[in-house]
Formats: sequence, C-alpha cells, structure tokens
Amino acid sequence: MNSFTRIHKRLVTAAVAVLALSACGGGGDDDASGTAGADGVITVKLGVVGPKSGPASLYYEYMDQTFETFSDDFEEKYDVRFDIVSEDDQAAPEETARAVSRLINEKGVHALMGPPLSGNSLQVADVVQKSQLPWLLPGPNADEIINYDVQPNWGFMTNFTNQQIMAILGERLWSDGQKVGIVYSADGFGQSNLEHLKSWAEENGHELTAEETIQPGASDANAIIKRFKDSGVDSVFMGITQGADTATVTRAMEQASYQPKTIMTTGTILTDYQDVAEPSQWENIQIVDPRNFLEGGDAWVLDQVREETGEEPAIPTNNISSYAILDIYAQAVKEVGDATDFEAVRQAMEDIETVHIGDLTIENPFTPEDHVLYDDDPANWLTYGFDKNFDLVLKGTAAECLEKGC
Amino acid sequence: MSILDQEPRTTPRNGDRTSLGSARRLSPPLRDGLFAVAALVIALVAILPGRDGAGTSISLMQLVGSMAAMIVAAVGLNLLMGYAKLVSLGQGGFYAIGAYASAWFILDAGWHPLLAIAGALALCGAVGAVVAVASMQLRGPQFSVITLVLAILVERILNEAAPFGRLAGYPNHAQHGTTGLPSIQIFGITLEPPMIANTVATVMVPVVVLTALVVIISRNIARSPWGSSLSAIGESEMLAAHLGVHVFRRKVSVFVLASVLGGLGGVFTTLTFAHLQPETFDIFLTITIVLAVVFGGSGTVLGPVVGAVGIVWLEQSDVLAEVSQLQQDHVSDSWYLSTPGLVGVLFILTLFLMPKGIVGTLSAAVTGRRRHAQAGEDDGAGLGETAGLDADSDAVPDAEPHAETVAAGQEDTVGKHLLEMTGLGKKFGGLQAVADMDLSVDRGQIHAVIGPNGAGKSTLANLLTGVYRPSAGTVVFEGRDITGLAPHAVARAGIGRTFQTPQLFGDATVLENVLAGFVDTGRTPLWAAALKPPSRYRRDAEMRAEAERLMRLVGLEQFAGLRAGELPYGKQRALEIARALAGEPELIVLDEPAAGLLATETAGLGDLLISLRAHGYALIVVEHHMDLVARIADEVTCMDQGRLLSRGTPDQVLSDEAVVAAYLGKPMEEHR
Amino acid sequence: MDALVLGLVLGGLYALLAQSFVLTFITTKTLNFAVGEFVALGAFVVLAVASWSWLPDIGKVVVGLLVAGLIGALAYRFLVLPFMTEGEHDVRWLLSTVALSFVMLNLITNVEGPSPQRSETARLGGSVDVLGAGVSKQQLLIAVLAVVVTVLLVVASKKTPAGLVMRAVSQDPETTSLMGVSPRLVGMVTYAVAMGIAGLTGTLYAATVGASPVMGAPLLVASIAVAVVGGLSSLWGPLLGGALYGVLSEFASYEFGAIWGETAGLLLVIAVLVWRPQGLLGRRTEVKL
Repeated sequence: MNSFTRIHKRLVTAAVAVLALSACGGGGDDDASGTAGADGVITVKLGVVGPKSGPASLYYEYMDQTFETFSDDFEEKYDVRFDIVSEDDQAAPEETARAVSRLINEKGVHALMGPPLSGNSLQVADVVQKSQLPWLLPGPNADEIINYDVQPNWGFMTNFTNQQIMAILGERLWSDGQKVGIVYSADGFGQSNLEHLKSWAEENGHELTAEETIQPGASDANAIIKRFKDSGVDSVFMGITQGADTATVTRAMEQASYQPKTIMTTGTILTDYQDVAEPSQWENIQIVDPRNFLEGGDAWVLDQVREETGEEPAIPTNNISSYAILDIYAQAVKEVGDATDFEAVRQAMEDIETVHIGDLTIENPFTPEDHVLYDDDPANWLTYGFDKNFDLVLKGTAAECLEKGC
Repeated sequence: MSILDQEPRTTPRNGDRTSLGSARRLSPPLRDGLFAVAALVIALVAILPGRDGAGTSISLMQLVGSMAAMIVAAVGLNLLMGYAKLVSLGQGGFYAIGAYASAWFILDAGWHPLLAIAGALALCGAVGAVVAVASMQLRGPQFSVITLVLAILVERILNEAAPFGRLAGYPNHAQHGTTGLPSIQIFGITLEPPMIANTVATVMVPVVVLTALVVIISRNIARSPWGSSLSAIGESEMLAAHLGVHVFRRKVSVFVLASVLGGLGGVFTTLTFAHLQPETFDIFLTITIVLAVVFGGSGTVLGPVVGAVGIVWLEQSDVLAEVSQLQQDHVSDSWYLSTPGLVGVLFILTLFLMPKGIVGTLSAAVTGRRRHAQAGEDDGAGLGETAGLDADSDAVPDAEPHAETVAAGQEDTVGKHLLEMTGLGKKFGGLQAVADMDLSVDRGQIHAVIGPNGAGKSTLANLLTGVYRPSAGTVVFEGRDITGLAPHAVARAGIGRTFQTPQLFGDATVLENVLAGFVDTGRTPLWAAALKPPSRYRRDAEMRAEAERLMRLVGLEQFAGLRAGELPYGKQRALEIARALAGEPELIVLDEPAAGLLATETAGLGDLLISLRAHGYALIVVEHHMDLVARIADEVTCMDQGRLLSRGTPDQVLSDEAVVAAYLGKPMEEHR
Repeated sequence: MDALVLGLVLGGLYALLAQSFVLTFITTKTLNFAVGEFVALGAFVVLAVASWSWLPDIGKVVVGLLVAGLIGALAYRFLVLPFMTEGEHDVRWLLSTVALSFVMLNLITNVEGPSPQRSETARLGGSVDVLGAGVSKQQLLIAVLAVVVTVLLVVASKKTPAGLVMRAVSQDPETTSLMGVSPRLVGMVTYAVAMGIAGLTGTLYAATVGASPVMGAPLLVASIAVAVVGGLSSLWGPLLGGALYGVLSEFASYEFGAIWGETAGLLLVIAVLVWRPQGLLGRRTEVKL
C-alpha cells in the first residue's frame, strides 16, 4: 500500500538557502544576475524542487549528482554557472506548489528544474506555465504535463514520454499475434503507461487482454500472474516505478512457473531491482530506451558520475536526461546572453540545433508542438537484455528487433 | 467541615461565593462578542500581506490557505476526539471527499459554486452518518480501526476512480482540457486562488472568514450544554444517557458535524490550490490532523487552531532542517534525525511535558493558579443550612411534575402511586437476578431497598433507570408505562439517579458538573448551541443561578471552581446529588449513597434526604446502612436472591427474622 | 484452489505480525503502531550481523529478534507505560507509538538509505508445489511459523507460570499487582516478545523483498485488520483472521483484479466490526455500572 511509503511526504520543505555546488569558481563577482559577470561567466539562478529527503530521495539525488559532476564542465563549455536554489517538497503535491511559488516569486529564479515525479509536476503545470519561465523536466514521463494548446509553451522534457514508449513497444508486444497484458504501478507513472498503451492499441486495431495494477510495496503479485495465465497472456509489459515492485512481479512469475514469450519494461528496472531479484527472474526481460547505456555519450555521463561522486548513478536514465536538459539550457542562456530574458531563452531552447550529451549529438529536437527530446522512431531506440550479472546486453535497435526478433 | 456535617451553621457564608462572581467581569454576550471580533480580526490580518497580489505573498497565502483547511478539519476532529473521546483516524477521508466532491461538482457537474460546496459538505455529512451508525457500538481501538479503514478506502477510490482523474490529477488535460480548476464566481465576484503574481487572491477572504466563523461556532458549541453532552459521552455513555442525552443521536450528530468540517477543510484546499492530486490525501494527512488536535490541546477550543497552525508551519519551516544539519555536522552523518523524526521527537516531548497540548497546559496553569487562590479552607458550608430550614423554605427546589406528564397523567395519578413497579424480573443468561419484584413509591416518600450482597438491589435500580431491559413486569411512572425505556427517556420522564461510585466529570469544575445535570444537556438543539441566540444567554443565566442554589443546598458553593476530581469523597457524593436535582426530577434513585461516608456525613445526608422528601421528591434509596434506613425511610423493601423478602416500615422489616437470617445466616442447627 | 492455498500463505504473513498486536493488547490493552518499523529493525539488524560468519543463520535471526525485543521493551517502558495512566480513554499511547514510528522510520532511512538491500540470512530460495499451487518456500516458512508461534504462545499462556501471570494481568492488573507481580514488568516482557515476533517477521520477509526502511508499512494495515477480525483478545484470533483475510483478498484479486483484493480485505474488517465488534474469536467484556 502506498499509504505509508509516502508517510513523510507532507513534512518539511526545508528551504535550504543555497545548495552549495562544486567550486563556486574563482572570479570575483558571481552574483546570480543572469548576465555575464566580469569573468564573462553568466551565473544563472536555477530553482530545483524535489524530494530531498524521505523514501523518494533517489529522485532528487540524480539531479544532485549531475550538478556535482558536471557544473565545471558547463562553466567551461558555455561560460554558464549554476547557482542552485533548492526546495524540498517531500514528494507532496501541495508542498511542491508552495515550493514552486517560493522559488518563482520570492527567490526569483531564472528557470525551474523538477519536480522529478509526474504527480507533483501535474500539480504545478498550470502555475509554471502561467508564470512564464523556462521549465526543465528531466524526470517525468507523463505527456500530460505539457499542454501544447498553450503557446508559447515553457516546459521541456528530456526523458521520453509514455506515448513514445508505447509506440515503440506496441509493435513489439503485439507481434506474432501475442496476447498482451500490462502490470502497472498504482501511481502517476503507471497509470499514464496504461492510458497510452490502451490508446496505441486502439489506434492500431489491437486489444489489451489484461490490465493489472500493483500497489507500491505490495507483498505479492500471485493473483496478477494467475490472471495473466488464465487469460492466455504471453506478452507482458511492466510499467512499474519502483524496481522492488518489479521484483515482486518477476518473483511471482517464477513461483507460478509462468514464462511469457515477451517481457518488456522500462529503464526503471535499473534502480532497486537487482538486489532483490534473481538471475532466473530477469533472464528474459528486455527494456527499450532511446539512450545507449553501454557506449557513447550517454554511457560517458554515467561513467563520469561514478568517477566524480563515487556513487552509482541514482537513476541512470534520469542522470543522463538531467545532463541533457542542462546542456540545452546552458546553450540557450549563452546564446541569449541574459538568463533573465525568459522569452528569448525559451525561444533559444525551442530552436536549439544540437544537443550534446558527451560526444553524442541530437539535432533539432524541438518544435513548438514537440518539447520532448526523443521521438518515437524505432530506429532511434535500443533494446537491451540482461546477463547473469544484471549487466546490460545490447540486442539491437527497436526497429531491428521488430524485423529479426530479439 | 464536610458538606454533610450535622452541625448547624449559625451564619451563612455570604462572602465566600468567590469563584462564582469574580471572574465574571464581563458579561457573557460581551465576552463572546469580543472573541468573535478577535477571531475575525486575526483572520483578516493573516491575509493582509496578500492584499495587492504581490508575487512574494503568494506562497504565504497558500500557506494561510493550508492552515485554514487544517484548522477547520482539526476543529471538527476535536469535537469527536477531544470531547466525545472517539479517536477517529478517518478525518483525512472526509477532507478528501470534500475536496474532490466540490471540485467535481464545480467542473464536471457545472453547478453554481455555492451549491457545489454545499453538495460536497452534504455528501460528507451523509457518509459520516453512515459511518457513525455502523460504528455505534465501537469504542477504543476498534473505533479507530474502522475509521482508519474508511480513510484508506477513500484514498483507494480516489486513486482508481476514473471520473476523478486518478493519478493524473483533477482536473487533468485529457478529461478537462486544463490542469487548473477555473476560478469560481460568486455574486459576480471572481474568487482567484493565490497562484500568479499580480493577481489578488480574492478567494482567501471567504476562506479565512469562514475559518473564523467555524472557530467561533465551535466555541459556542463547546461551551453549551450540547458540548457538555459530548463530554458526558466521552466520560461514560451510560452516564450521559442518565443525564437525558439520546446517545445514539448525539453521536451521529457529532460525527456528521466532524465530517462536514473535515470536508470543509478539503473544500478550502481545492479553492487554494485549484488542482488535486490523490497523493495529497494519504494516511499521513489523517495522522497530521490528529497530531494537530493533540499537539494543540484536545478538548479545548483554541487547541486545534494552535495545533493546526503549528503543524502546518513546522511542515515547511527551516528550523528543523537546520537541526538536522547540525546533527549531521556534529554527531554523525548517517545516525541523525531529519524533519519527520524530529517531529516525532517533538511530539513525544509534548506528550511528556505538555500532555494537555499547548493550549490545554497553558490554560490549566492559568486556572490552576486562580483556583488555588480561591479554594480556601476545606470546611465547606454544611448541610446544616437545610437542616435548619423548614418545609416551605425556598432553598430547596420543589419537585414539580413535568409538564408533559401532567397533561398525560393528571387524572390517572389520583389515587395511584407516583411509581409503580409490578412483577419486575431480569434474567442474565441462566441467572435470574431479579424476579417478581413489586415496588411503589409516592411523592414525598422515601422507600429504602435493602438486602445482602448479591440480592439484586443494584440490578433493580438499573432496571428502573433503563440500564437493563426487564425480562418481565412493568414499570409505571406518573401513569405512564416506562417499562424498557432507554435511560435517557427515563431521565427525561423525571427520574434522576446517583451511582454507587460517584460518576462525575473529574476534570470539569464543580459548577460545570452541576450544569451538566440540567435537562438542557440532552435537549438543547445544535443550532441553538452553535448560534447562541439571546434565549440561549437567558437560559444560561437561569441555569447558572439555579446551579448556584443547588450548590448552596449541598454546601458546595465555595468549591464551584474546583476540579470535581479533587473533591473529597463526601463532597463528590453531594455534587452528584446536586447534579441529579438539576435535572428537575420527581423521583430520585440513590444507589448506596452512604457508602464511604463518615458518620457525620451520613447524618448530613440523612438531613438532606429528609428535606428533599419534605419538598415533595420521591426517593428510592438502595442502602446497607441500617441506621440511616431506620431514620429516613417511610417504607422498606428487603430483597434476597432477587426476590421480595420483606416489606413494611423500618421497624417491621428490620426486626423480621427472615431479614436477619438473610443477612446473618441461620444458626447452625437449622441447617440440617 | 490456488487462491485458497496462496491466500492462506499470504494470510500467514499478516497473522504472524498480527500476533504481536494481539499479544500486547491482551496484557496491556495497548497496540504498538510502530510495529512496521520494528519489522524493518529486525531485518536491518540481521543484515548488520550478516557478515559475522562464525554465527549460524539461526543465530543471526535470534540476534535480530533479541534486539527488536529489547527495544520493544524499552519502548513500552518509556513511551507506552507513562501514557496509559488515565484509564480507558487514554489514547496518548496510540499517539506516542505513532510518533515512535516516525522517529524509527526516519532514523533507519537516514542510516541505511531508502533502497531495498538484499538479505541472504534465513533465505529459502525457490518454490514448492502445494496442492497444485506454486508457493514460495520463504512465504510458506513464514506461514508455518505463524502457526507455530501461535501454538507456542497458547501453550505458554496456559501451562507456564509466566502465562498464568500474563492472563492474570490481562484480567485485572490492579489485583495482580497487589499479589506481588509487577504489571510493568509483565508489560515489558510482553512487548519484548511481541516486538521480537515483529523483528522475526522482518528478517524472514526481508529475505524475499529485501530490507528497506519502508518494508513494514504495507504490512501494518493488513496486520491490524487481521488482528481486529480475529479478535484482539484471542491468541488464536490472528490465525483465523489471517486465513479469512488472506483467502478473501486472494479470491477477490483473482476474480476481479488486485484493487478489489485489497478492498475486499478492508470490507471484511468493516463487516466484522459492525456485526461483531469484539472480533470473531474475541470475548465481549461488560463493564459493571
């Protein structure tokens, strides 16, 4: 039951004055004026909101790790320094609302990053849009957060959206006439997954055979697996936020000797799953993601994080997406020369030509109606499996897997 | 001297009516008015910073909105938890229902905002009524569990029910094309939430004004007889019933009231934030409301207000984060407590150091000092005042037939007894506790019931006042059949009672205890208690004057401000009698009144009872104390093993061999 | 059929934890709302001593049990006992145990971090076929233990002097204290045993789901429900309550989906409380006026 796992959300939004970053750099004047100081470096006041403490703290940690690892890099590359002003919302939506209010109105931040969770983002979507400042969203996957009817639009997402992943997965799940079942977590992420899978299915003349929900922290998933089995599901998608809950599902599968032909899930499995599952449970699981975790720029980001912080990336997919959004924003600020000119910065972001993630580049990702970094072209997505040690094994692009099978 | 002392007093103590008069520098209407004004002023001052819609005030206005919501929810819970002592863990559920229902009625149903809000509150009340009825028999942990289950169910429903948007929030883009609830318009004024800079958050005005009104009304209720009935229920439902309170109805009413207030809190949250996410309405919300009540002081008027403000403020203050940081720096960087843990510690400290909560502890300290100053010597006025009075003295209220029974039974009562018990029997499973008992008593008569332990005397008393339903027989009072009526109905019919061990409200003052005895405790309607019309003030003054008379009668007027729990036993007994008299009974059942009294006190008791008889009261006295019985009883009934053993004048019965045998046993030879 | 077996097994987990509620309620008329955190405590203590290779698994489990029990006894002495003094209406112990749960959860989260950690101690991998249903051995172990612990408690309460003392205190603490038995000591021992059981549950459960600070929370409501359904005054109650709750939830999940499974359990609690407030095996106590 998710009731107690969020037991402390409501408490404390500790307004820690300044999250001291890496070296605040030499140079004399680094007041966050938003324009270039004497050393030519623009100091940007970046508001960051998320669950700094409590059970969901991993969702803040990846942002921290990104700042810790890469602020120097951004200063070098783009002459942009981040002055972080953070607020702890304990993952409570109304706290997020207050925190965002404070950041925007009292602290006067130049841009807002986070919250990392879909539910909290939905709570403040309206406000941020009306407040008209750049909104950096490296975390959430829910499409619903950005309402393209409102133009100009201020939110930018560097994670894939649930509509996209369903477009990629849909073909795969229903290939060879398989019967598809989804198990989704009872939260914003999970329900959004469900909605988009159903939409895709409808649009493409398919039907979802089974829809099962799992409560965060549930003790077992036997009934879910039984229902899959009974309805003949042989192709399963797990849209589950917490790796531990994914483990509960795969454990139930093993217990019931249930081996569907296809088991797909998202990058969420990379966190908190391995420790509590067995190789026999993950041997058939595959994930799709537009990022390459094994080589190239994306992998470089993760390696850097490991090196600099000495820790594992808290949420690998999101570590990468945080890097991406900061790259985009820093480029835009450098181009405009003034972080306080929100309109211009937003336009610059929308018009950005090349996004650099390490040495990986993504060209012209945005249009006024599309503020999502990735797209749903199967050729741009990668399929991974897992080996005995839970290391990722690249199986090919999503397109290849559709053609030849993976 | 104890109140039941035999020694007559020579001079009445005029100057000692201290506690009754001194604190009353201001008249009640003036004090109430001042409180109301203060509440409204504070409410408006709270939103003053936001009057020009400055961006920097938005977060503060949101905070005020959250505090207002928490205040009304806590006030509602306090009525249930603090007064009626029903620990509900479900207030968060009503909060959620209020929030979502009002939003849905406004947006999806398109109702006028006032109607939507009223509808939401009505829904909360209805659900509250259902839960109340379902949980009527429950107290303690079971009651808490069922309310907790309700809150969990509500949360589940919100998570899963598509019309409410589920975890996409309400409103959401897919279903409504927007993620923000449109600002509502009432009487042409648009009520904006605190959201965007340079928009004045006009919705804050009705929110805080309503909050102030809720606090004012809750104060009225708490200090009214309706409020005392809640305390009575909290103390002992059986006692409350004997004070004329229809416990079932009262419990449902207070539950409904608490649910409506919880729902109002939810409505405020909808108005302030204009978007709802189910994650907000989790179990922790309901626990926070409980914490607010206890932290601030449950059972006090301002407690929930202080507690709510405190808890919401703590939620987002820096202080705890700094303490947490200190620990990390100086103690250990993994073994430290951050805010949730610190709140827990704070809470435990409050429980230790300020068990009555902030407001409760403060007010106890203040009144404690006042009372100590007035307590004076423990030689209260004696009952002797009445002993010296004759039959037509005004000190004792006359026993007047109740208006309702006068009309009903006027003709019938001529020639018949006031109370007539025929063939009364009670079986508990296989045990026949009482069988075939007859008893009658008239006005101005004392009928004593004696018998060895286990004879069924107390059962008889309980049968009379409706604690048990008779298995057989009838009880007719003033010509009316009251067989099997519930205790509150029996009390309202005109039968008062005292108990084997004095059942008092230990924490309340002597005066408050006496006031609880008045029929108003059961009879005052909620609207009158809440709105306090002038008739209520008049009645309050009447009750106070009458209560003072009764306290003088039993010699307690000097102790009016003392906690009843601090009284010596004899005075507690006297207080119980005064309370019983307040209910204007015609018949009083006294269950072993002399138990535990000193000889002098017993004599004083006897004097009082004789006085009461002289004033037309009918008394049934269950007693062991034979001297007292011999002295005061007109008629004596002796019971043995549930049956009538002997009846007659005291002389007759007390010398009856069978009675002696029942008490002392037969000589050895006769047993063979 | 599957539902029946799996439901019973699931119910066993809740029953084991419910036993700790019932135990404390019988002797002290209080419940410890921090039980979920004691579950986590047991798991983490065992994790901490997992590297002591000289200690066999069973020894590590015992260590976890003892630590949880010790802290449970202290919790009773300092956080429950002082708050029970005002008789039937005193609810301060409820609030102090809630506060304790905040503190414990927070401390554990700060020390260990929020992510679940693997626990190998007392882990029975794999599953076994029971009447056609695949049951995880670990879960089966927990369920069996629930029965064993219950039987032990019942036997102890009836046949041992300690059990007699416990029953005496539960019926009349004042008289018992007049006879030279310290209800305070009895309470502490009871809490020690009860929290030991909670810690034990945590150890075994962690072997399945991993040790995490929030692992106990999802079990809390279900265990309270099971305790209430069975009857807070009966040591057999948790078994019956657990069986009913587990089977009902599992059946409902199978037929209608997981959401209904949980809801069915909650509705069962409501039904029992309305129809028979003292629980299915509980005894109704009348107060003499």
